[in-house]
Order: sequence, then C-alpha cells, then structure tokens
Amino acid sequence: MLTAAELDHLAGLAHLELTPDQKQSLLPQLNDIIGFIGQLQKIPTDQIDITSEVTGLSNVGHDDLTKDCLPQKLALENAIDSTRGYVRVPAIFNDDDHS
Amino acid sequence: MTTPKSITEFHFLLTSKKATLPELISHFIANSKTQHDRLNLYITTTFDQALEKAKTLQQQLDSDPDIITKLPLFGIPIAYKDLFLTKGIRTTAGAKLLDSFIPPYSATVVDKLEAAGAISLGKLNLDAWAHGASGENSDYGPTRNPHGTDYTPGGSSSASAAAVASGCVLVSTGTDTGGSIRLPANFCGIVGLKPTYGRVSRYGIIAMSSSLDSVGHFTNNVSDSATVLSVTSGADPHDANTSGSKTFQSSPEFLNLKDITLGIPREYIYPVTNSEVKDNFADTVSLLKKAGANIVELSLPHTEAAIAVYYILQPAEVSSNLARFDGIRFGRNRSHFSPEAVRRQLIGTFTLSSGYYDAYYKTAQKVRTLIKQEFDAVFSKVDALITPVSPTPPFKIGEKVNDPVAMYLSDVFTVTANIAGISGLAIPTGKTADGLPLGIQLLGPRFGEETIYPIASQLEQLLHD
Repeated sequence: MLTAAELDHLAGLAHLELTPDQKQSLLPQLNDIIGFIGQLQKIPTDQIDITSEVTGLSNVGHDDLTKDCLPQKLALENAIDSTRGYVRVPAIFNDDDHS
Repeated sequence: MTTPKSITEFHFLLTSKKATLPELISHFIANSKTQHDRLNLYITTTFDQALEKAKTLQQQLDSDPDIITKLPLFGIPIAYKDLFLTKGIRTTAGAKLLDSFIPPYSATVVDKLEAAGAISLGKLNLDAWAHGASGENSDYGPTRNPHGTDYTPGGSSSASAAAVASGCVLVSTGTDTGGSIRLPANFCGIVGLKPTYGRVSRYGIIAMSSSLDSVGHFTNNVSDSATVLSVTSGADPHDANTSGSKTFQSSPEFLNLKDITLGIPREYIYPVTNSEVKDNFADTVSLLKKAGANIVELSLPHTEAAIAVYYILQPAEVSSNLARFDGIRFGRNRSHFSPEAVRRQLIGTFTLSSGYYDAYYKTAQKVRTLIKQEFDAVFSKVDALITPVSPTPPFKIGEKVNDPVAMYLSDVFTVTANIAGISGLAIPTGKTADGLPLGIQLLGPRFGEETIYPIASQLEQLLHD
C-alpha cells in the first residue's frame, strides 16, 4: 500500500506538484493499479533473463562523422526564454554556492 | 461527387479525368469540415496548404501522366495523429502543455509519405500523450465514433480511425504502443496496422514508451494498408531500432489458404463473454476454414500476465520520456500535465524507484521474455494467429473514464503484440445488431507483414463475397 507520504516523495522525484484534491483522488487509484500489477510477482522468474529490446539488436552504431543539425535560430524558436543565442534557464546555484 | 474509398478508386478518377486533384481534395476538405463538427476530429487543419499542393501536383500530372505510377500516394488525402512532428505546423500530442509548440523538423514518416505524393489535411485528435483507450483523455475534448456518436472511437489514435471511417481522408497515421491503432480501427470498422517493432521509424514522433512504440496507419482496406507500409517502412539512420528493417514489398502473388495454418489462442477466446463478439469471431473462423485454411487451437499461457507487464513497462518508460518536458526548451511547465499523464508518471516513478525496481520493473522485463518465447514457439507451428481485437464492441463515452484499471483492460488482447514486438493487423468483419463495428486481428511473427497481408486480403475477399 502506497501511503500519502510515499506519494509526496514520488511526486517530488517526478517533479510534479500535486494539489490536496489531486492527492486524495490519486492515492486510491494508484493503489488499485499497484495492486493489479503486483500479480506478476507470483510468476516464477528466477532463472529467466530480462528482455529490453525485442528484435535482438544491441549497440547499433554509426560512423563518427559530423552531420547537419538544426540551425541555432530554429532550435531556439520554441524556447520560453532565450538570450544571445542561448536558452535561458532558471538559476540553479545561489550566490552562496560561488567559490 | 461520391467519396472514393480506396487509393485505386482515387487514382482512377484522376487518370480517367473524371475529377481534378483540386476538386478531389476540396471534396475531402468539405467532408472533413462536416464530420469535424459532428465528431471533433482535428486539432489543427492545413486545408489551404493542401489545396496549394493539389494545384501543384495537378500541374505535374498534366505534364507527366506517368507521375501517378512513380508516386504510390500521389495526391492521396492524409492526416496525422497529432503526435507526429510536422515542420512549421503546430504539434500538440493532444496536450495543452504543447498547445503552442511548432516543430522545427518533421517525423521521418511524414517526410516519406509526403515525398510519395500524399497531401496532408491536418493534425488529428488523440488521447493526450497517446495515453488512453478511448480518446477521452484528450485535452481538446473527446472524439466521437462515426458509427454512433454516444460511443468512443477507441484510442489512443481516436480521430485517426474516425477520420478515415467518416470519409475525411483515405489514410491516417497512428501509433500503437499497447493497441492504440488496432483498438480504434476495430471500434471504427476499418483496417489498422501495428507493424513489427523497428519496422517503421519512430523518429520525430513524440515518444510514449520507447521499447513498445510502433508506428502504423489506418486505411479503408487491406491493399491500401500494404501500399502505405511500402512507403513508411525501412531503415532510418535517425532510429537505431530500424537498422534491421527491410522496406516492405507488397506481393501480388495469390495465396492459397489451404497452405496456411492459423492458430487460435484459447486465452483470447474463453474470457470473451459478449455474445456478438463471440459469434462474429466464430463466423469469421468458419469462413476461413471453409475456404481451406487449417485452423488449430493452441495456448499462450502468459496472456493474462501481459497486461500487468504492460502497465509496469509502459508507465516506467513514460515517466522517463515525459521527464524531458521541463518547460524550458519548448512547451509549458509541468503543472500543465493532465491527470492520466500524472498517474502514469507516478506509477513509472514508483516501479523504477529504489526498493521496488526488482519486484516490479525487472520482474516485468523477465515475464516479457516468457511472453516473447511463447509467441516464438507458436510461430514455429502456425503462420499467423487470429483473435478478437477487443472483448467487447465499442463502449460508451464516460463509461470507463473514472476507473483506470477497467480502461486499461480494454487493451487485454492487443498489448501482447507490443510486448513480443510482433506484427498485427486489425480487420473489420461485421457489425452488432446496433450497427457498431466488430473485427479480428491477425498476428504475425516479427517482420511477418509479408505473411499477414495476403491472408488479410483473402479474408477481406471472403467477407465481401
């Protein structure tokens, strides 16, 4: 059973802010889903390998050559905030962090 | 003008000079406007650009009548699930978070279809981020079923199916991660292909679940579906998973059903309690049997576990793919995710988190191996499998919207194909007493489209006779 505190933790990990109303409706729904998917644990799988790619490919590479890419102007067109050819992002460090 | 129903009919009208391309495209635009008002199909339309391209292509046809044999989709009206990036044309994924996103490039499949002559009429509604089985999760309102507007058209490629079924376009694109092409094709009574994983490039299509996403399409008939796959399939350097993909070549050779063995997995039959689905499936199988096909019953014991595998792997990959939407490079911030996208990211974060990873995610990857092995074993004995697409006919709008697990179970017969990476083709086979569509799916091995298309053509012919 997922608890309210665990839901807060998950929301933090997923960078999602939940309102109290959302939390209230989500908690029983998520517990239903977790109960449903938990049925898999009854299947014996100790000796079974995992599958992550289904057609059997692994480590597909290509020649290490430079190729055309999006022009800077076009790449910035959807950015919420840009300056001097760069995407402007929220500050990560506080002044105190400068050494 | 009567709406042409196939690529062949459309091209005949052009070559016999019964209609010009601008006239034909205007006709499909007029249909689109009428049906959009009834069904809520389009998020964005590109009617003016479509008419311009129609004029240009008509001039090319006038000066080079052979162009129609060189471009398999010459002039064909098409529309894209709004998950496919279209350069310079808004692409939303059905989500208000991307309401104003204008992609700087197009998906490989979009480029290929347009180079083959297709004319796009616009971008089609879907469950936001392709999360859903009914179309009701769209931030732009639900799409309605053309066969009964109280019913859902199935999802997540909801309007892709409804647009073809209502005569707005001859071809539409879709993605199938757990049934999102086959279920709506089934609910709308048209043909829908889920190609083998890795057969068609995913590049430029907003990712849902990267190890399951398959890029396919909707058409009115089997032959058109094969024609479209011959355009979209093949290796794309932008999608490493297509590196083993050969371009599909439609084989005109006649197939003798007597040389074919079809398997019916009993796990797809016994849980069906709806009598109309049951009877229609039995009728379809006996039609094939009478025509000489060998039919064998067999077992895929992990079928029931597949939906749980799917609802672990898929939300895990969703949580990873949607983590990139940071509201910085494009799109609005993360507070604009709608409820289903929030649910899936939370479930995915849970199954991938420390302490739960082995019990959920890793276990699901192991059971995936068992499911894949089961399919490989049966395909050494049969050419293809035949099953219902859905345990029920189309359900009503609102019926499952507050019960996520009930909605998830709509995909119970379709998710296995995505987990095993095999090919699947949904084909309409009849209607309920209320006039709602019923159908079957043919499941073939990985890269087995060359096998399932000829069988589907034969079945289509038998149903027509």
